[in-house]
Amino acid sequence: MNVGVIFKIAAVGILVTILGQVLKHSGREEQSFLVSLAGLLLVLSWIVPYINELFDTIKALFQL
Amino acid sequence: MDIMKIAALGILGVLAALELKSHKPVYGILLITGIVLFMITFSLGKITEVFAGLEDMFNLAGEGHYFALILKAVGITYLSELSSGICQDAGFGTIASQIRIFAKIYILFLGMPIIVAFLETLQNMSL
Repeated sequence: MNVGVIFKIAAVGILVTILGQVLKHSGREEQSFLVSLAGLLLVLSWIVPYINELFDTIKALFQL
Repeated sequence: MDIMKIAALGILGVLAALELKSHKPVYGILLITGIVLFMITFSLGKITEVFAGLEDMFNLAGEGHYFALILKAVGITYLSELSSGICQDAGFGTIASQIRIFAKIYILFLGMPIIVAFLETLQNMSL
């Protein structure tokens, strides 16, 4: 778990916002929704393994 | 110092998340979750040492088997506080309070045998 993940999430968020605005103002509503969905899935694919790892460590640490 | 890193990361993250939240709320919450994950992995090392020390103390006092129960209760509180906090930030208060209520019930469920054992010892003492 390095700090890079956090910066990547922020970067994807900003990129998707800009792309969404550009697409929205050029009249392509659906594409802007698809772009934000793709960004969301991408970030989720990064963060879910870390969440899984966190829950395993907590389960091991607290003997849950 | 470690606390400087955590504090700085927290403030920067909140500022970035606020900016992201105004445009796309989902990314604000994801950013906050990423930061929380990083902070927890940062502090896990210290938690393990604290629990090792606590375990030695408990073994000295001869109450070893209760330690596992207390550890479990702390773990449940930790996890439920984490998840209900994130749900609260996302704006879903009901889910957060549900998680907290379930955590309390589960801890009570865990602690029930101890209460019963305590009452029995009390009863035997008074006869």
